Amino acid sequence: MTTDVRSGDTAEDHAVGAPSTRAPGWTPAAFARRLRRQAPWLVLTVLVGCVILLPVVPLQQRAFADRAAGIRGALELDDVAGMFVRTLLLGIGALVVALLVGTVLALCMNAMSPRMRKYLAFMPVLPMIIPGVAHVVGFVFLFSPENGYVNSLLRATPFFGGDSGPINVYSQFWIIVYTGINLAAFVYLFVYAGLRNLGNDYALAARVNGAGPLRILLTVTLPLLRPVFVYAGAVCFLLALGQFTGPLILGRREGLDVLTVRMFELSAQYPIDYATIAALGTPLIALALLMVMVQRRLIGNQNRFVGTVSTASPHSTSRWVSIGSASIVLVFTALSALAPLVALVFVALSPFWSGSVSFGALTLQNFSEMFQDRVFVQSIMSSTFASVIAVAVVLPLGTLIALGIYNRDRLWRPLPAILDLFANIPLAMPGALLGFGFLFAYSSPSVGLYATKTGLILAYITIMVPYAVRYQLATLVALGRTTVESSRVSGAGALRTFLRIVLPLGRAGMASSAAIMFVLLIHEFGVSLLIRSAKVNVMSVVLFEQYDAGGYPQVAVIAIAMTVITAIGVFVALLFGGSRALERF
Amino acid sequence: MTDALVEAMRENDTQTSQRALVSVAGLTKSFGRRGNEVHVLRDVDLEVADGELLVLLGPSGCGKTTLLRCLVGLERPNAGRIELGGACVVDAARGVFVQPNRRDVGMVFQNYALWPHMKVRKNVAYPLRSRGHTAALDDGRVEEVLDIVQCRHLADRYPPELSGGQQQRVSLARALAPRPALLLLDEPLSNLDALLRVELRAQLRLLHRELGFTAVHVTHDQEEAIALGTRVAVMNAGRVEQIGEPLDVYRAPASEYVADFLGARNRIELRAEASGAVLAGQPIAGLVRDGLRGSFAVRLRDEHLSVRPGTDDGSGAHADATTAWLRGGRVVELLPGVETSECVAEIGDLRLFARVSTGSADVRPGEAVDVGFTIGKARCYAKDDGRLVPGWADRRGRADLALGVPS
Repeated sequence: MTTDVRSGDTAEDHAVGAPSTRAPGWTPAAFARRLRRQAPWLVLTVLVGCVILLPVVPLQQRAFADRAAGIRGALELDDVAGMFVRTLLLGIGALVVALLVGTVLALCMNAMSPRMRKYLAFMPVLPMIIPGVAHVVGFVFLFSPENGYVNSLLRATPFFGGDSGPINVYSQFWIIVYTGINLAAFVYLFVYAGLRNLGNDYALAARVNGAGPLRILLTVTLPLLRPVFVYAGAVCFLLALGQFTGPLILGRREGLDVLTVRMFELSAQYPIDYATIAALGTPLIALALLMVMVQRRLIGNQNRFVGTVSTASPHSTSRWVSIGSASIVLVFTALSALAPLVALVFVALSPFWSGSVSFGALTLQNFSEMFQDRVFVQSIMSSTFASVIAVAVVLPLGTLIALGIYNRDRLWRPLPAILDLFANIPLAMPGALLGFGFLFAYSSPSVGLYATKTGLILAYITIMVPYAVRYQLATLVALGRTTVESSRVSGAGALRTFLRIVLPLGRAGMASSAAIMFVLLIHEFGVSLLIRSAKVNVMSVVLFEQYDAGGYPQVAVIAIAMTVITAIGVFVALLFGGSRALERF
Repeated sequence: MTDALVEAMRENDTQTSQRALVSVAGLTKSFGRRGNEVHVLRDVDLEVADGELLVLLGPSGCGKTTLLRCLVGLERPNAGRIELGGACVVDAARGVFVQPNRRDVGMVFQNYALWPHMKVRKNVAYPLRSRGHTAALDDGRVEEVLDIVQCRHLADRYPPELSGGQQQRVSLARALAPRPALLLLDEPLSNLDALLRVELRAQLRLLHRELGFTAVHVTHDQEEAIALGTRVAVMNAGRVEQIGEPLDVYRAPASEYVADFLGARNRIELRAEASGAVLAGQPIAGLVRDGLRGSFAVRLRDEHLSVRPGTDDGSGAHADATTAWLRGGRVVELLPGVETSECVAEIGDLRLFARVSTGSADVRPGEAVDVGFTIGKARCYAKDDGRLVPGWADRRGRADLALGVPS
């Protein structure tokens, strides 16, 4: 061997020259030799590929097996056209609502005085922090046509009468509104970040050129945010198409199912028709892959639109504009986050859910009963255990993948690109579809993970990979390249650099992201519901089972327990990550 | 710094610098995908002698930082060979690439790159620990090197508590601590304000003279290059355009590109034919030597141009013993300064910038002027290849012509 590179370096140290940068002495043998030095990264890529593709590939193979019998079966299902139309309506409708509400919220936040903004910036994100199942059940308690608190209140006014309504949360329209409001926080985060990036200079320039506030909004601000709208809109549309929790809990009463709900219903029939269910997921997978690819292109384009952040103080906001904007944000928060929580508390403290509030009858009996319930207590333990273990595994795994992507110029070129693609796939796939993929894979005798804690943890790890990678990548980018390079130049190897420089400096970011991932896993419903078993059950699924059985006060108690655990997780995230930690949801 | 300390440092550094010869041969580096590559370094050859402070000078994107990063091992060249102290650290043809942590090289980064979670003392001790120099740690090397950069009193502070200048000194201390065979400085002064930059420049020069380390310094500031370098290499589009002692490079830029980059921004076209010479479209006698033929560009710094009230009699340009004068000019603008002012004049389409003494300038915007230049200071470049044409002017009767122009 004619190299004087000493042994003991990590694979990262020995990059394989990309084809375009072939040295004059390039030979297949030399290439293979260099590739061998990158073996750990190859192994990592293969391992991640196996984990990520396990719930996707076997299931899709099944859909197309036997001359696409699954596809044919799916097309022959009852009301299949209606289901597709409802799914599409949900996607488009929720997208419109989310874009509208999210943009208004972001503009309001931007129009506030800096001081007000400081205290209110996290408000629109609150609905995202409430566990999904708890949130939707809270809405049921508020807007159920018969017993909903808001409906009861409205019927008590002279404008409405009758025994039910005026709002029917189980109807298609309100399912769309609910989903849209749920996704509005997501749009808000993107648009608000876009507005902050633009700064005030463009608006000020328009102002001194004679434009009024409305003209500035329509001709300067919104057009400049076009890439943000395209990106957030595309992601929102995909998320809305894959919605599961809302349509499942709200749509079943009136038989309004969508793709994911139909998949769940079919999975409850015995024998399970895997091929047909897999075929139902095919369009969602195709969309998800398209999304991952478009997303990369859009992000590339986005940079062209990023403005220079103004260092000048923001333009003076009139007191009334500031107060008006704050009111809109507060009303949104009250309706979308606070009201469902209050409804949950009332139901949890009431002997039964009646729609009327009777303070005298409030009792803690539901809490004491539930905490003596073995299934519930077991589910808390299972949820916490599986979440903690999954986070403990996915954090270092995500860090490794992030290191690979971050050091893309040092690795053989296809590896970081493949890692990046893998790391995005679970994020673009609806939870219920992934859950069904796991169910199919785990049920295979060769895998044999069905009804095991290991299976649940592996599923949790898979769905958290994108988050772990994104967070650790953000941490690495924030550290900056020279921080690491100066260590290497000072004689430190890759391991020492990681332990002495990257880890201490990135500690807070990692801790914050661990807390957020824990919260997301405690919330998790779609995957957990599909792979649940009598032995392994988690809180969100127990909540759904109680809801199905009509035990509403019990549902409320579980929802509150989940919210409390979430609050603790969020507190930890804030402690380590500062106020911007919430933007990572 | 005490004399004994300096002596000890010099002794140590002399010991290491014996093997600190840097040799770069055929270095090539490109970025980007196949078919869309950006060639940043093109077949660069370079040698740095022991104890030398070589300055890589050039505009943004000329490849100077990439060359530095190849030397330290942060970039992997596509082709070429690098030797440090006689040992091969890069040989692309044989697949040899020694990692930065295994090269005996120190580096000072443009943005200091001090680790914010470590105190100054720990930052400086880091390379000693990483390289296993525990004896040096016990011998008080950290304090010693902090003394050298006059930052010992800051040892127990965290980097964010320091000013920019202090951070840069600590960064230098960290790089010097393990006594590297080669010190690399990547625009270390560019983030500092003007006064501090001049002060630190002087300190760096003093340190280099006292310690005698071998260094490569990257900058785009020509004044810094001339003040610091024992040699200067001017880079252009991934190649070393000229290398030499600072004043030689400054006085006789080897190409029109170097001349332009080093401040000779006035460009006057010259055509020499058998029938006579034409300067900026005006026939001129007695300026160029006999036998010079072809198209050229004459390059001049502002301070080598002068203006006088116009004497245009239609006879064109003329040259006397020291100065060539172009007629038919007009002052476009006069930008006042404290000692000197900048006079912008136009002759037809040609725009020239002359530096004239403030107060003595008896020219006003709009006035007709003649623009002259000192023939001995003018540099002439062939238009086809942009290379310097030595001895282009008619020397008869001009004793000062030989000054600074190698012939």
